[in-house]
Amino acid sequence: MIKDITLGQFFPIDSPIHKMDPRVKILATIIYIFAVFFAKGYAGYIVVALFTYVIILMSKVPLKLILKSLKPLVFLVIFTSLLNIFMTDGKIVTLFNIPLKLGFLKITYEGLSIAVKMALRLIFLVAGTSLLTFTTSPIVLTDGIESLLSPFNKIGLPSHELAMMMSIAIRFIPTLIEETDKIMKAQKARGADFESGNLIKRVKALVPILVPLFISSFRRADELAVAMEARCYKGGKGRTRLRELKLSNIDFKASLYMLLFVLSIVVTNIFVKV
Amino acid sequence: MSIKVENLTHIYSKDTPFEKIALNNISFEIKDNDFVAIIGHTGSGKSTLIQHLNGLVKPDSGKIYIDGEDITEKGCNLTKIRGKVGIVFQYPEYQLFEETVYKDIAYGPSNLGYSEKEIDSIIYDVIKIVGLKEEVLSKSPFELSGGQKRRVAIAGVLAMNPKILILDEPTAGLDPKGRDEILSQIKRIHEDKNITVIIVSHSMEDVAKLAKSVLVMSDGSLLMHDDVKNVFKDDKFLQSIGLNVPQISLVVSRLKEKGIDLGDDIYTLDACEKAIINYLKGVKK
Amino acid sequence: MIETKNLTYSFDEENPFEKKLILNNINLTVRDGEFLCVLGHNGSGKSTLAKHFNAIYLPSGGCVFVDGIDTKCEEKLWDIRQNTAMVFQNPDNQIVATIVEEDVAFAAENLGIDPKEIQQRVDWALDAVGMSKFKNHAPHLLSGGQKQRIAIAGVIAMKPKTIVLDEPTAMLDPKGRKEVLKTITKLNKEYGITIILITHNMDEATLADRIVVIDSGEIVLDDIPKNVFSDVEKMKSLGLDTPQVTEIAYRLKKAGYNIKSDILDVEDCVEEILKLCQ
Repeated sequence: MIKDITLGQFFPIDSPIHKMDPRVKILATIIYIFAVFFAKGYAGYIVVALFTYVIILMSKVPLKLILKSLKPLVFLVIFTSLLNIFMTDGKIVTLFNIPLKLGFLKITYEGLSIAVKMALRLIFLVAGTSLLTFTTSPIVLTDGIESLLSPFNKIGLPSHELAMMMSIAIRFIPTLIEETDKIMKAQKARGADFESGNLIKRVKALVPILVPLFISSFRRADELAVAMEARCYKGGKGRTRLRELKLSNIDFKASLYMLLFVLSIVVTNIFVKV
Repeated sequence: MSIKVENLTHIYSKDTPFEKIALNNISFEIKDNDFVAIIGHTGSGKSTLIQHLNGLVKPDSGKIYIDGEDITEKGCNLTKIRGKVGIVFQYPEYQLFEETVYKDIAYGPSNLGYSEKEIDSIIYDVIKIVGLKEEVLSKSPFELSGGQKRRVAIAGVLAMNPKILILDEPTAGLDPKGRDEILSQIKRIHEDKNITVIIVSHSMEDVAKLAKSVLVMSDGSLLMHDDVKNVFKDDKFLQSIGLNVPQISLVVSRLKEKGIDLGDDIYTLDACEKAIINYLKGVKK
Repeated sequence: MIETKNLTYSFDEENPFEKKLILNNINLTVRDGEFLCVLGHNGSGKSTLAKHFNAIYLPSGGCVFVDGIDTKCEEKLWDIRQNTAMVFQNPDNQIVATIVEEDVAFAAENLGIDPKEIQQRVDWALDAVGMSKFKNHAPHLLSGGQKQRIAIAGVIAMKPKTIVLDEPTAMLDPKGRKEVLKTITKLNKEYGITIILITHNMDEATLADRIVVIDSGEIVLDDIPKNVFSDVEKMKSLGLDTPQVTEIAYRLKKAGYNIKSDILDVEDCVEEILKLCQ
């Protein structure tokens, strides 16, 4: 059912990670991404894996959910792994004294190693970044982005307006889903058929849904603009916030942990050559 | 055309923590050419119920017979059923999409496979029934006033030649004049075309004015299915499930408490005026 | 206090060059603390008038004064909008945020108020409309009446003197309608906020201290509810309803019975009929 689409993947629960300032979380995620690419050997990967696991535990987000978010990745991981395994030059693997080679396809030790590393990297990246959206509500996330982008106001980037547009878009997603459902039912009651026929026929069948949806969205936008102006909205200048983003103890601790994480990756890269 | 509903149950979000029984074991029968009002507070299951009657929503259990045909059976041709049972949703003007009123009204019948010639004559017929002039046919539906748009939308459903017409809150958002116009047209459709009409309404005054029988719903259950006069007689019961009662019914029942009995079946202005005048004449004698 | 002096407004969306009079020479004074209802059918100009009270529209002719400030005065625009707040018809299209509390804070944030004070005002406003329990809920899951009360909380957080409500109940069910009307009446009686209620619903109009009836952009009646509705014939000719009890009394009077014609509620009506029976 179209109504069942959930809003983002925010998992509302009380945890130290949820309590962190969104700005710190966004920056930490960026650093994490760099760290994943920076880690060279398996030792580094073990550090990343341990760190990721600890963070997931701290966030109290069920591991099942994280694994679920990795699902769409399966195809990509298999595809890149196969590509790496078969197409990398190097020492050919022999099994029972038979070299594994067929035409231009060959399995090399280097290929296997790269495949494993790439797969791990992808998994870490998705797990880490989805943790950000699991622990931060979309609105808080836009607040964080707005605040992080605000230094660029001087070069003409409208950070407040961008964030406002994003949060209004998020706000209207459920409203528009409900509306789409209503219009679909109304057109079905007029004998519309969205399920059968070839592609062209199906696309054509969407017109009676999309036209009313667009018209009502324009009307909504218009009314919302008037309502916002009536509530004295005049852009970001001179505006205060109910919840000001403030750094707390948790954020300083988190920064310290991030620093330790990066340092341990650097150290493993230098000293452990595996 | 008759409708028969047997032990209809519908559950939202089944097997999740949000499970909610929307319709609870509902059975009723609507006879040919009846004018039925469904009343009940928001969330009582009225909208879910009417969406079952043309197969837009599937029941979790129970049977629905339209003209003897079970529409919950798998092989049932739902498009055909939707031609027989027309539903006009709340604020139907928001479903208009074509460039011209003519094309928009043609959408329903052409989905049902009517020929162009048939559609043409139907359109000129229905536009008259809803009280619009032929000039509007070439206009864009978006140029029209709110009340006109709503009539175009009703015409679009009527054009499918339904034998049962269901209207969900047809007067929502209209002012008194627009409301009276739409209601008198619905009455005319019912009388002239011999169509069974079902309206969902929050306005007890409208129900009292139009309906022959009433279905009273509350929390997914059907509490009452009776003639209008029997439903409005019990104003205490209706108020206890959060419904309004026409002021006239209140006056009549209050007068009865004070010892003045005007009779049982008085729920409209005209009937009330007549009854009081007759009573007063009796007093004078 | 809001005052309009010879207010005229003309505009034609489809044809900007061929001007049509939407409001014609409106002279109206709304006193502080008053509960005024502007009654009229769709297209009578009542919503256009409402949008003049906080400078969403500016007059084509004449003037509108909000507490002595001309609404044409651009430097004072935000003072005017803070002073005279507005609530609209569609509850969905005036909610900005995804959490009730943040939505109620929106207007106060725009005014640049200190965060601590915003929190106080938000708590106060939610309490005033009886929605404190829903502080952390998502607005799109609330009922229509609840959404509209959130919208009202959002504007009273600006501490306005006047609230203009443009058909706030048109899209609500009877329950939601009652909730909103109760809230409006409470704000007027307990908090002394001036209320201007725009509607075509006569039940709502009977709650007001004074009714102004608009037709074709002109004020045709301006009186207390009893007097306005007792003229059943005139109300009908204007495309408006009267309460059923008022009409019964009117019909009985027309039939030659000696009955009061300014009846608005059931009790009054029953009493009058009992008098006739004696």
